[in-house]
Amino acid sequence: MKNNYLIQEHQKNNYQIKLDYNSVCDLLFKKAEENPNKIFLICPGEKHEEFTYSEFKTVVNQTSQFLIKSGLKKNDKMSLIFHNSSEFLILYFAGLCCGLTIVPVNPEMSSREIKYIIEDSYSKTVFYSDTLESKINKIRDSLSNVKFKKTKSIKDLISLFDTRKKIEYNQISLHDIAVIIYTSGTAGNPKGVILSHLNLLSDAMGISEWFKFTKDSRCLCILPLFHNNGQITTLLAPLYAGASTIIIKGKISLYAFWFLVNEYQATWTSVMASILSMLLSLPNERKDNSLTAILCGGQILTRSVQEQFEKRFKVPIFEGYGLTETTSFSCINNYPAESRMVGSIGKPLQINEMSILNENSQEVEENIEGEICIRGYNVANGYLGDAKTNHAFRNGWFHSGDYGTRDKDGNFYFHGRKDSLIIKGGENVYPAELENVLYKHPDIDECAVIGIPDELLGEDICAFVKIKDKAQLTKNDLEKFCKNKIASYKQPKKIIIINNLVDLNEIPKGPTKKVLYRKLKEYYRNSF
Amino acid sequence: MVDPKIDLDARLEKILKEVFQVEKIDLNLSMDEIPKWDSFKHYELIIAVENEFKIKLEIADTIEIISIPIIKSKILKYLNEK
Repeated sequence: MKNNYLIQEHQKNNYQIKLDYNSVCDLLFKKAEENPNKIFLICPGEKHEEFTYSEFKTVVNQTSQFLIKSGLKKNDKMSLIFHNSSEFLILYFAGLCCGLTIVPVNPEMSSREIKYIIEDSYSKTVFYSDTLESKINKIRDSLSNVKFKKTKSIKDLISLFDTRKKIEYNQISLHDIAVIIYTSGTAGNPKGVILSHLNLLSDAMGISEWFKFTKDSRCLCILPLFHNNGQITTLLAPLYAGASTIIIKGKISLYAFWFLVNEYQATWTSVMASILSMLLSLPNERKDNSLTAILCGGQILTRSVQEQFEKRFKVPIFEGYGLTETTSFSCINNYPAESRMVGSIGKPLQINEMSILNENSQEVEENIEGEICIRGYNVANGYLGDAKTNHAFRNGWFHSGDYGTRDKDGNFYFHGRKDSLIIKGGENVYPAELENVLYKHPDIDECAVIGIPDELLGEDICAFVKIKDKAQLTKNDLEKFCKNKIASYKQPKKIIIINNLVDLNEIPKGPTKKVLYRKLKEYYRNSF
Repeated sequence: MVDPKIDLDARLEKILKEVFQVEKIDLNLSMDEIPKWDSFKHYELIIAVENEFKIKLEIADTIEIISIPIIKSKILKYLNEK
């Protein structure tokens, strides 16, 4: 690693990595030189599009000319508000090649939330999908210094630009800021996580090497590209190997999942655990022989879902762990499948170190619970904001706010998030403990467990349960079902069957299908 | 026998209102303009359309359904092929 002096304390670690690229742009262009005719991206759908590496480089060059002509300069912030689409991808890479900082924004956010991110990130220009016109119109006038560019098709923007013109790109270093991704946290305003080219490249390399991606790998991207998981695991990691990615608009992905895997011979994909549960609930069966592994992270994967999925679909699931603050994954269960330690979130990628620390930032012994902390090349520079905001980056570690343990072999185990932890009469109860039990019931579609106020115990346990269509289950049935499967103090005080509610149809989830425990707590507070 | 194309708009509107649990819906909207249209609702919508119009959509067609007008055109295509 050159310029080691630019690395922050929480990015230093005992691994040495060899990156052959100075920036994401450098990576893309070198791969295009090595394999010009290899397919890089496939975007199925109404307007089916495919790009070879060479074609993609050409369109990125044209778009870069457009961005430069628009007056954007190195280090300017550019917000992109799109669902998964070729428009997002082209603007993303063109912006990075011009030395801009990309601020991907979730298009499902409200106008108020979008405005907050544009202001907080000091975005100069906002490109947005034409379907979001009504949302943007609500904020356009109050952001008079920001240029808004409605984008239906990239071709409309760049048709006037020369496909062969050689561009003098700005010098971009590994330590330049590449993206600011806002965390999908539900407390207060979201926080902008600052990620450099080093962060993106090192995490992409770590994942690509972990799963032994080759040029022949074909990754299916169904997670949103405005989040880190989709962006790193199924876009930059395959790019690192010169492989191909099939980009799917998330909303169509569930029903067509196995069709898409078969049609495009996908070899690998990355999902959230709830997507696996949903696929299990559908009648669609697998037809391909191509898919060899599924990476799963972002929320707890219950044993029952993993077992049922692997038994029915015959494809191994690799659980992993990471956060936006660690670019994407920090650790993943051992590959190939035979060497997995099922139930573990795996071992650290060789780009970062992980440790379990106590409240005094001291490492705890094996199998003793503490906070999961990470340091390495993939750990973000920090959050946008002041020192108080950046308290999680301290003493040479990023403190994740998640709790877990490590065993004698170095495998890590995730127990839960500090803010979803239930403290019942002094006893720690993680929602996943009860959720794991409930998910074993064949008639339960989905569930989530929260802490509710209790005068005596401080907190008690409430389970929200959605029952499968046509199933007949009562609270009593569920209480009996849980009775001997989990310690009595972990039994739910209250079970709410959401099929019986008029104002809640399903467990609230974020755009990556992560359960929004805070929203569920809000709902409980307002309704009970 | 009643022509299945009759009242297509009204029947589609009824399905959409039920699936998305709304009282009113503009039949020109795209999926991105309907906040409740997520991957699971997409699945529910396809099943509801298949049941209502007694058709079986090819999965390749379902990945092109990104707006209500496209659903309508797909329904018409399948009804015409019947």
